[in-house]
Amino acid sequence: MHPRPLGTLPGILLAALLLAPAPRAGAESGLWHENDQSRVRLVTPYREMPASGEILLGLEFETEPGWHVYWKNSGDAGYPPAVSFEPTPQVSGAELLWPAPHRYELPGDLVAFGYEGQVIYPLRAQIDAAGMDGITLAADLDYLVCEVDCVPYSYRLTVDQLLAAPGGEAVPDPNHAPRIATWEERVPEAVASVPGVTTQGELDLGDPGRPALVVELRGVEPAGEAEPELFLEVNETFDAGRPEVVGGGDEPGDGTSTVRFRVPLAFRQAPETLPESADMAWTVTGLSPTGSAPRPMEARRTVPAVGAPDTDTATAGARPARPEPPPAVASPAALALRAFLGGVVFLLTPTVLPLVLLRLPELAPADHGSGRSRRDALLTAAGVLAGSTALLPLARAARGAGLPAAWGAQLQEPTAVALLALGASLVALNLWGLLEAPLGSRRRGPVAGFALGVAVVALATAWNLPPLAGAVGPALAAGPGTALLVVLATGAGLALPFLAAAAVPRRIPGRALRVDDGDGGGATGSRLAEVLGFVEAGAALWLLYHLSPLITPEGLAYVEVTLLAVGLAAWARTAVRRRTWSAAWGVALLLLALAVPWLAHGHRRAAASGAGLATGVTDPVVTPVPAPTVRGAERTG
Amino acid sequence: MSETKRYPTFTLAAALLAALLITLPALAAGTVGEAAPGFTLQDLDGDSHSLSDYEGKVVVLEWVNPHCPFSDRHAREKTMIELADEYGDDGVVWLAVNSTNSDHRDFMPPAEHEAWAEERGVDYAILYDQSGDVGRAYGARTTPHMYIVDEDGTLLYNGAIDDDPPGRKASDERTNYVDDGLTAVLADGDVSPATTKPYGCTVKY
Repeated sequence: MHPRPLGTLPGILLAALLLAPAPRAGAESGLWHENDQSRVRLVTPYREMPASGEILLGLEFETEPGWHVYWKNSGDAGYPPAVSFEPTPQVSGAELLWPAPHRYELPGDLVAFGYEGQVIYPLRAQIDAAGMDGITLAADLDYLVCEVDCVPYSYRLTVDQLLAAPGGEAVPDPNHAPRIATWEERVPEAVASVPGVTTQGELDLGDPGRPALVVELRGVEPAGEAEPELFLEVNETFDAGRPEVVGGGDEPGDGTSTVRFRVPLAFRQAPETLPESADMAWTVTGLSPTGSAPRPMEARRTVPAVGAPDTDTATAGARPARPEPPPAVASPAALALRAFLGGVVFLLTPTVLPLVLLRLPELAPADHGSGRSRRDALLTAAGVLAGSTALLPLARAARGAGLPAAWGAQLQEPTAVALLALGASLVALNLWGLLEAPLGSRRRGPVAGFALGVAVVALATAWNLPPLAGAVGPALAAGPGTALLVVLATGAGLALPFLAAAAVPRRIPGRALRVDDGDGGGATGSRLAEVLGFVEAGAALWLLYHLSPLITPEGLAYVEVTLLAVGLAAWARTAVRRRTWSAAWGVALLLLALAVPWLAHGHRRAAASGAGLATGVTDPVVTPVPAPTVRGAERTG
Repeated sequence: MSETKRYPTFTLAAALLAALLITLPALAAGTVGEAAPGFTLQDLDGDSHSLSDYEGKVVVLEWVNPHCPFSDRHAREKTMIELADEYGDDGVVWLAVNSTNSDHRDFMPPAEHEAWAEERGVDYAILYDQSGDVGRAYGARTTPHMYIVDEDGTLLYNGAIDDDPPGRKASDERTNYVDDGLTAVLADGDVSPATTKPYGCTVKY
């Protein structure tokens, strides 16, 4: 698009908006309780919480480097966080969930299982607060944070929460909802619910002095570089040593991929007679269902002692039951349809709509025939499809790095959010005529059209939309074929206007809306571009708002100032007449643009980490949770 | 028995003996129902104490580290001190063991340890286990970590002092496993639960 000098007004407004302090996201979060080693708060994923039904909360910790909090089995020392709510009529059945932990080796051959840096323990509960405007959720928390030393803390946590109007839908909080969902995804799912995966165990008492638990998982394979790990929950009968992978691979015969663990055990109390079975519960990480993305899984079994391993039996010695049928999963066609609709909805988002509205008029046949228009439209559509397909390896790479591959996870990565804000800002500058870019210009050739298609997909990732979120996760779990179908369907939805333009190029609307770029456009198109520039700028501001809780306040300030400097460099490049100065400002613009994600990365808040190893016995430290304390105003009217 | 037949018997006996020796350590590491590992350790005054010295008496072992907030909390709240006084009248011997490595920052020299004990009112022997051998033999993992040994030297309890790691419960709501265990032992009853998961700081081996 040819730059059109617009004067300083958009620049001034952009500067004013960018420098306005981005509001702290997370209004639906309680106050942080801080100490020298950590801080903790209650968070909810809602701007407006459902007034009835199941709700989700989060218990969020951030620890200083080297300090950790605990999993439900803390290991050799420590204890897990204990949350207790006062029973109320409105909220009941609160349950703390446990994301897959990390293992920490401690001096003295001791181990701990938990999380370092950041962790959100999801909390599920039931709410019945019809007729109320809002509630205050309150809970008492006891927890232990340890490095080499341990420090116990107790706090009363509260969070004020608006409730949805009667008959209304819950409104998600764009900041906390994806973050809590990310950690909810790290809660292991039952092996029985994972298609194609089964697990069995046996208690090896061949050497009674050295009992061991042997666990086999079928239909799984090691996931990339992460070592498979198994964590036992606390057990009343045994202390556990470190599990080791002792075998696996493709089974002869059916070729099913298998992984086996062996866990050395020790009786906590010398048995008078050897047990015939034992109740065991374990969590595994670092494994992928064959052909799918890695996911943590858990199982509870009564494992037989010596003899045939059980398979989904409830009691030892019982005849092995038939494996449960895999749970019902949405068909690939249903997932593809959902993804296609998601792609269509993306067309209406503030980052995508301006590009589409400006590209379409440019495709209209003018002095040339429909053939060229059709070619350009198809090239743009091809760029969209290629960009959509590229999301698949990115999602797998993210999952391999321990991040969830669900749609919306990119909005939890500060570097990604900063890049999206930069992209939206650059598009705004282009629409205001301050930055020349070969985005679909008729004079720039077919490559520009393809690049615009890829840019459409990139900017679409700035939005977490339910239809797509509900399709991507199951698609990745279902297998590579379904995953590819889903991303192509998403691309088809996004490319719909261009595909339609390719089909009937003479019906492309808005020829008069073509931008005045010296190639036959008009003032109306130019004005439209300027207005759409404000839409893109608004999207950039929203992304900065979303970035604010992911990085430090200083980092946010640096990002905002750098984006302003990008705008200044873009303006200066068009304002100077001498080519050398223009080139110099171009270099400055490039360097400043590269600085934006670098600054976001360097000022990120502590990231989550952690895996742990479970041993033995269930520890009744976590208090059963009846219901949160509720205080709120009755709905009037 | 012919010479050719002695070898299999000898081999079998050797194998069984080896198996027994190999399995013994696994069973002896604080396994309830088995013989408590013997030891000889010195207290803050340099006097030696051996488990065998207390044969015929019930012995309570408490792993301690004054720098651990859990150990110190119980000392301040006199959880173990009051139990030691109460059951001392029944002949129960209470010994504290500090397995902190002498190179660790938590290590307390005798004079400092004595000052802490006097300040808190700990009047039972505190034994140094700087090598950690005794702690490892018992499988001690935390401070505090509690053991009850009966008159015959059999380990009857291994685990936590109570069911309240955060220390939030009122004293009458708290289950003190050692108190209940000693009551059962002195009444010739069964200690139940015989094992619990200990809580506290890690032992600083």
